[in-house]
Amino acid sequence: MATVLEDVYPAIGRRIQQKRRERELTQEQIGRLLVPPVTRASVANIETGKQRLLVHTWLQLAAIFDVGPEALLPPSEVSGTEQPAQTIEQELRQKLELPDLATRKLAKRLEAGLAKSEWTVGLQKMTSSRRPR
Amino acid sequence: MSVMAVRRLALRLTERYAAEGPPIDVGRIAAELGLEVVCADLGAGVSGLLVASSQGAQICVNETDHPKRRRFTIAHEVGHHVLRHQFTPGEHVHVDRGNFISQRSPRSAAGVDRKEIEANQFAAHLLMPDDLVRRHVESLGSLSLVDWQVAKLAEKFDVSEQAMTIRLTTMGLL
Repeated sequence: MATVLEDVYPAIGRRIQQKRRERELTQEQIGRLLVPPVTRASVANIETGKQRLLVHTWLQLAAIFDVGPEALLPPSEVSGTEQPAQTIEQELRQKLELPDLATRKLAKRLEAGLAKSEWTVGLQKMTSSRRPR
Repeated sequence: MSVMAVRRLALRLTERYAAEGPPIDVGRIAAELGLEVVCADLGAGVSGLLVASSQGAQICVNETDHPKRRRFTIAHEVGHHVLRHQFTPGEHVHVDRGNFISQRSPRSAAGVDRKEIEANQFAAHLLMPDDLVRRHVESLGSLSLVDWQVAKLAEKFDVSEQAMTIRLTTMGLL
């Protein structure tokens, strides 16, 4: 589960946005349902994680969506059931604008490279204070 | 992470190579960390990738970029790795665009921009360590540096003139 300050609120915001869309509500409607009411912009900021969610808002949102409060928390990384890990190829396809074949080739190359890399060894080397003579 | 902490980590990595440099052998630093460096066409506007899985991590740089640019990209990705920057859970591929600032707004809210700034600072300190830069500036023997001397320093450290200019400015030498 994301626990770092800069990760938590965007993660919660995404969950809220997801639930809101599932229920076909607008940000403005959500704002009006909250007590005290908040502006549409405020809901938008909560969804992007720019505004930190207060506990009463969290509980009210859960009530509005008719879910348990924990359903709005970031998904656990360990169980990973909410966000199945993507393959490297899928990620490259989304994030780069390369032709199909080039994407596939690159993914293959990267996957093969990862399989034989020894980064844990490297990290140990780095954190050792002893310098080679 | 504070600028001081970023600097400290870069210094720790670079000091054993500083005796042999400049230029700092960033490829070897990456290799010693177990990061394989792959060169590939990444398309326009993408300078580098840090690819990580439970199996390992590697750096991918755009083969169409200038070698000096690629060196900075490698140093920048080493920075993300060494600074243990966590990106979105479940994500394997971190993409760095040309300007090293993420353009996606939800991600800047997620502190991605701060990570990019840290990685840039790390890269600058790795390729242009304080002591080494100072020593070379002193060897030029003049109090105020002129353009051709900046160019010469950039050549010596195998970085772009732009990167050297920024470094000298932040060090108060320009």
